[in-house]
Amino acid sequence: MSVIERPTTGRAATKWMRMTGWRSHTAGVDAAGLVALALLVLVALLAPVIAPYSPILRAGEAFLPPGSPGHLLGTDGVGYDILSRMLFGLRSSIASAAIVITSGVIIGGIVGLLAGSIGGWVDNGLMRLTDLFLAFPGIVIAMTVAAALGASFSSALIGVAVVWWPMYARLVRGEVRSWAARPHLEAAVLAGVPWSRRVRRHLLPGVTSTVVVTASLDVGGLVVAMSGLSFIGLGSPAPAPELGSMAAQGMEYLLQFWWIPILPGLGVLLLALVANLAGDAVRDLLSRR
Amino acid sequence: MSSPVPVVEVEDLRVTLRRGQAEVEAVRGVSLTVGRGEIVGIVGESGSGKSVLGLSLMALLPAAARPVVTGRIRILGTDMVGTTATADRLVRKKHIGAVFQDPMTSLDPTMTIGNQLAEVTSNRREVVRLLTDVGIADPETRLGAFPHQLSGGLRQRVMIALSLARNPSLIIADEPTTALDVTVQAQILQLLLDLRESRGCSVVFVTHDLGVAAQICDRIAVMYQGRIVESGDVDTVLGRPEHDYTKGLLASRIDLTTPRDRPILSAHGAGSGDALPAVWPAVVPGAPAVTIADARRTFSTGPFWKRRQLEAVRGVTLEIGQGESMALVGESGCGKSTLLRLVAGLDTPTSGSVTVAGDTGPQMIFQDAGSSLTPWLTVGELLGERLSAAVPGIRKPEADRRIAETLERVGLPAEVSRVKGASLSGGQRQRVAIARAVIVPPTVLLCDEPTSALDVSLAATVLNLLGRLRRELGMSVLFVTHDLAAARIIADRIAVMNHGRIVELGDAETVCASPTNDYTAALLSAIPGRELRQSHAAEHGDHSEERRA
Repeated sequence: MSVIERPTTGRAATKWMRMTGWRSHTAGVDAAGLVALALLVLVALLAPVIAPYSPILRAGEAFLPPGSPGHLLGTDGVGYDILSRMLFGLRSSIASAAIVITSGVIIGGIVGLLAGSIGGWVDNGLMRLTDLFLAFPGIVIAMTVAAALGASFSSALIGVAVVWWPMYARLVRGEVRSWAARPHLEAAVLAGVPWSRRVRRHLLPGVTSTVVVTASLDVGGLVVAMSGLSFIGLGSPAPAPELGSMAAQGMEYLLQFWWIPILPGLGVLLLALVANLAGDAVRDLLSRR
Repeated sequence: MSSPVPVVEVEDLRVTLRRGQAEVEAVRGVSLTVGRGEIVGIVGESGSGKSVLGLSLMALLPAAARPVVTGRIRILGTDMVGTTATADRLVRKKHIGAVFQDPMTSLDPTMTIGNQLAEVTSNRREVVRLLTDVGIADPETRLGAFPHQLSGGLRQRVMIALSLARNPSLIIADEPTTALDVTVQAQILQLLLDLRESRGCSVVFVTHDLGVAAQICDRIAVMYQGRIVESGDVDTVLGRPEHDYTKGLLASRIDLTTPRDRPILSAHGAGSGDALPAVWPAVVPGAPAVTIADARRTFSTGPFWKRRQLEAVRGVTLEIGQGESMALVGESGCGKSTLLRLVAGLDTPTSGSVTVAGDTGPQMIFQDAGSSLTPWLTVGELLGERLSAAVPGIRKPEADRRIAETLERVGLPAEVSRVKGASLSGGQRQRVAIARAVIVPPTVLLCDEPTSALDVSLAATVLNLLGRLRRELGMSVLFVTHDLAAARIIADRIAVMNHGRIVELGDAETVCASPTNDYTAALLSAIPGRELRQSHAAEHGDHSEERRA
């Protein structure tokens, strides 16, 4: 009696793609997205090593156009090297996205898990609180919090983190509820599995894939939101290198020295695009599993 | 009017479906003819290709499976293979009506049934006449109802009305009564027979249930692995089956004459090799294992300003002895599952009490074994978890040994412990669920329709397994089912439930042979396939002889 369904034999490449769950028609784009994101993260991590100049020290003449000798992307109005500043800006964008998403997943995950698995008035209370946060426009709350805490990198982080968790709380609660309706949890109750283990082993693994997918798709949006705060002056104070504030400070030169505001803007665009492609890739990977 | 052209002519039909990279030859060279006014049953177990054949007749094979169809299908002389989708649709529109298993999903939930019928006939009087034809009382007021406001039987009647609207020559019914209660099923079958009389349409009736087929069909074709292995007149095929597969199906079929003092003799299928005694040893019930005293469970529904009370269980008193097997029989909504959950401790009674003796507590197996197994955990992890919850501090080698032992006990190889539920078949999953329930033998094993989602041969082996385990382990069993025939096999005593109360309680054989309650009698008379039983009764003796050899 054959017990285990073995995958049918096939060419090695298609077999690998099937095993990893990659659909052939999107596999190329998926792979490109993941590789590009990995590259951007690597570049950001290595920024202190590969940046030709310090991001906060004058590196040469002001207003040098891109392609100038020694300044690949030119210099800005002060004479900072734009490439070096963008590398460090990328670094802080990626770091802030990672921090906000992690905090959102943790806070939202705990709230959603408690609400979904305990139910009753706990569920009601936590979900109404979540609704309260969702009822206000997110960016306005983020701005208020960041402004109240004073312009700095960490207050911008806190501001965005405050509005980011409710989505995860909702998502996790919904997933928990739908898994909890399945008989396998009742079977675990009858098997005498304690509550904490039931949540950990019979509930959480079902929730993770959805959360991971949402989180990875969220990175792009977060990069834009954080850059937005930085653009309106709620990020780190000058001269800290942030893509949003670089674009903002360069706005006055838009007509004569277009590269000063446009290049950091393109940086945000590139990062958001790559993050979204990578998010799609993660979704494709997990949806087939 | 007799026409020389048969309604359906299928010649050497082959259908290949694709799922991802895998190709499945679902139908492998089937030939079939359906004459005018004939009801032809296509009988087989899941995966036999019967539904694919039914869908091919309507040219409704799922496009996502990229079906490849060769051979010939002619509906009233019009080819259906290798034609355009538009041409197929015209044939369907003119000649074919379809009735599917679950009318809830085949009716549009956002439209009233009046509007849905109006899509096929714009004449309101015609709509009302159709509903009257399918036996819906007070059709005028029903027109404004949405599908979810109707009972399952009424929904299926609406579906049949829809399929009749174009006055088709052929109705293709795919398991139309499987989701229905047995008394409602009897009504729907009668309706189809009446419609054949009054309208002269042919019916292709796809089913897994030999009893239903025996009741309604003129001819049947038995399908197995994509082929028709046997076909002919109902009485011939079911009375004197030629093919081993048909014999096996008939043997594992449970009816009210199946001997209950011994295991059901299933001639094939997974688990037919289980070691079973020739005759069950007698069980002497001991002290009460489960005591239910005037238990009531009331649910409140709706918002608080118009809260309604729904009494699911209305005062049940029941005692199950240690080692005794009790079946709780009733139709959907009678409160039997609620009562089972009360005994399981998954729910508490509004008033009254439920006590279970012993300290291992009750264990339960569910109707859908697949969803009762946590999808990302292996069988070994699930069994190990139960073991360590019941035997704190158990060592790994000892646990592994008991897991292997228990898997063997339920007829599964030990390597099953390394796989997840999804890679097992339906029957194997139910065995895993049983293994988890009995790895630490409980005082009472609760079974919530564990066989109703399984094919007959698998259901028979699961019933045998439960019969053996309860005797080996001295467990009490509370078996919830809608099927009196299965209840009679598995249980020492039967409790019939209706509207939240137990209306009849007694020895299994007595309840089935001479019911004292009208409702029990109605349930018994609605069991399909009495014709089969009568024509088959003489045969029964030598059947068991054959299989002994």
